[in-house]
Amino acid sequence: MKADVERAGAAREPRRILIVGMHTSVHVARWLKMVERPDTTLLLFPVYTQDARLPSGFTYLSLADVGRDLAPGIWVVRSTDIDDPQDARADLLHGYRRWRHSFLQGMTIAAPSRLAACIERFAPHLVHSMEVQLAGYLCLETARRMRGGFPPWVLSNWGSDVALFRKLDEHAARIRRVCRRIDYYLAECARDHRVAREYGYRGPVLPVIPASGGADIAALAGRVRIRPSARRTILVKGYHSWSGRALLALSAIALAHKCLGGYRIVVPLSAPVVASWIEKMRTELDLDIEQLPYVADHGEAIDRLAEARAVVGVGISDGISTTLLESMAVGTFPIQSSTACADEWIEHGRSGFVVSPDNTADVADAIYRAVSDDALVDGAAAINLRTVTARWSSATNGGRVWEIYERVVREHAPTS
Amino acid sequence: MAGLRPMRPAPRLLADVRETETLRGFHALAALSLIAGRLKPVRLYRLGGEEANEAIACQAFCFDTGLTLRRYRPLIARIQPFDLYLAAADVLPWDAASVAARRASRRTVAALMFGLREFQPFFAGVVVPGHDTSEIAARVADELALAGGSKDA
Repeated sequence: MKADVERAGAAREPRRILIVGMHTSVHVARWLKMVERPDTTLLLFPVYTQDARLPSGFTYLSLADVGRDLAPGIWVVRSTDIDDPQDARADLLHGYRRWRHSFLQGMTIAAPSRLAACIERFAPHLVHSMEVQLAGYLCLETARRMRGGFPPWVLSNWGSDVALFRKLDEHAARIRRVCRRIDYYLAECARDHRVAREYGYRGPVLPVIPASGGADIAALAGRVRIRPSARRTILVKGYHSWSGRALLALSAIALAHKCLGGYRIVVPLSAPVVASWIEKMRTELDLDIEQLPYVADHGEAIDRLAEARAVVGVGISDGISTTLLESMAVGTFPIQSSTACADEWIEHGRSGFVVSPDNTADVADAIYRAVSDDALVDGAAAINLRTVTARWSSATNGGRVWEIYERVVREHAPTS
Repeated sequence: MAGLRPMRPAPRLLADVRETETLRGFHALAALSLIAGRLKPVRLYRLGGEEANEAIACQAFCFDTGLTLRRYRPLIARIQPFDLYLAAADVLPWDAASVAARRASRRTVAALMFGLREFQPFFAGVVVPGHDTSEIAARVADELALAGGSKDA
């Protein structure tokens, strides 16, 4: 499909696409690599200030150097150029308050007037904001100030952006305004389409595509060394903060600990409070459990996952977790809370378990089933590999995204 | 007037939603979610919930369950004690707010995750193993004499 789209694109006008998003995000980087074309200029406008080393093939430039004639490639506006002291005054005049996550205190959030300047200089065929609370809100305010001058707008919904944040007093009205204003809504869960409609989205229903875009499934599957039923490790996701509930997952491990003899429990990405629990559980329950340090190398992280028989992810909200998709590619049996849209990817009881994040006994029962049923985990691995090959391949999804981008350009082409 | 029974006042539950180094407010909220349907006649108050992650958890809980979590103020208990105080924690908490909450409530359900073997309850109430949220939920329902069995449909 990718080759078809590339051939079709040979005769078209070179495309200028402005991505608004986190320049530090691996999802954004993967997406940009997925849609990179020889005749396309991809420009990333960061949503916050942070020094970051860019991936190979990405180049920083100043806002002053942005123009319509920017050469094809992947460019990133220097994050020092996304705000100026005088922008705070403009925000005040417009009655706009830049929103930030609690964990982003200390960072400067991009100013709408800088994004407007970037759009005026670059004149993109479309703007694609990746994530809602930073990129989406920024585009919403920029669009309001630019009125008719704002380009066609595609919004990607990441994870909990809509599913959780619409429940919060501070966000419900803003999310409603975003849904009413966007031209195209790109969801990673079918469930979010329904929410977007309810909140006022009137555009077309586009194919569901994970926020990470896609992956080289064959390369991931190629890292498998042990068949699932022979593995003796359980991996528990260690996030415990605004959405992650690692301690509820560990409570399930505690409830199931009598059936975990011979198993090693590993917990990557664990917060200090989670690390403290790991120590207590090792002492009190005589469990072989340890936290794993962060690894920057993606291949190493995949190898860890491919050594696990099952992965347990519990949280009050998520989209389609990338760890879940990666686990499906490497034969690791997924146990995921029902607050993600895992049910759109796995069949409960056959290719994984979708569990209540509130009921630790149910999660414990799922863990027991995963360690005691060899046929279940081996059978699930084959099913899940087929699923991600069909729906999470970067080669396939890159073509799908280009079909969407071309549709946007076509539907917003000036009439002669 | 014959046949009319005096109305039973709504039971009052104080839930400790603080999620700290040792307090497990997210476990408490998870347990309450499991019996949300049966908590409709109960007036719920929250101890904590101001910290950013706790606030998100409380607002999501209220959105999902349709229940209201009222903010706890010590004066509320002086006028009328709570029927039940629910606290989940690694070990029994002794901070001033926890002690005051136990004193402000007729009964306490303390859901404790660690060190239970050495623990002897001294307050009016029960200590339950904290890892099992469905067990915590069942104890809360029993203490409040909620109708409908131990679990929500």
